[in-house]
Amino acid sequence: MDNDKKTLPKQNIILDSNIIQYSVDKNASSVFVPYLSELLQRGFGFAISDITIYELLKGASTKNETEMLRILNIFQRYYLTDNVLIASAQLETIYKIEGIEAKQVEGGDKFIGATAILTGSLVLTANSRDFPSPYFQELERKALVYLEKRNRSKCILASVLSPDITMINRRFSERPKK
Amino acid sequence: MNKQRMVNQVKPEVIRGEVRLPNQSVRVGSNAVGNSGKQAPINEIIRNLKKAAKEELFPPIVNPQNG
Repeated sequence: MDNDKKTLPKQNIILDSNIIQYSVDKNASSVFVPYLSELLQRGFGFAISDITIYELLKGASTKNETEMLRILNIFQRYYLTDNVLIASAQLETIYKIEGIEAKQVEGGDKFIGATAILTGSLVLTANSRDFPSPYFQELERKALVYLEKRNRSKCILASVLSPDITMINRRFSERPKK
Repeated sequence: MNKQRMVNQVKPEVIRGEVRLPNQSVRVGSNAVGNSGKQAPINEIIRNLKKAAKEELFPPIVNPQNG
């Protein structure tokens, strides 16, 4: 058992694309970066999904693309493998069983959710509705308040969510056979 | 009403289990999905994020709650 413990990897938190956006935003970074730092100090690792690279590089100039890739490369990256694509499609199916319409959750968030399920990771997002209950449970919520232009105060709720593997497996088995 | 809830600080743990895909069962764990390997140390992550914010490399947040 002790041996097993030694080889266990640390738990990753997959950062939703919106968290990266806030963390590199001129104003929001003042509160997001310290929160990320706190999570790292608490022993979590960070990872991103391949889909985040697509979401954040869209429309970038070549110079920014190079710089942004340098920033994104500091994170461990989970690939969009066949298993992730299959699990994302299945996730959409079981969302439907709960009455969650496909258009309510964007494809990118399903890829991130499926990656979290398969890797035993948590998800950190600024929009917990993209990872709906009962398949994802909120473990922690942090109100992050910062000043925007003209000193307007803005509050963003960042949530750490965990996939509920038991519920997900149960619904997987309840999917229609025909 | 959107009730603000303060949740206890979550601690890292290793979640293990099994998810059934059509032709196989996938063991839940960090190796279930191919990954790029080790990430940068804490200081480097923080330094790079701060640098990116300072240089405004990324486009402004248009639809902040999405993505």
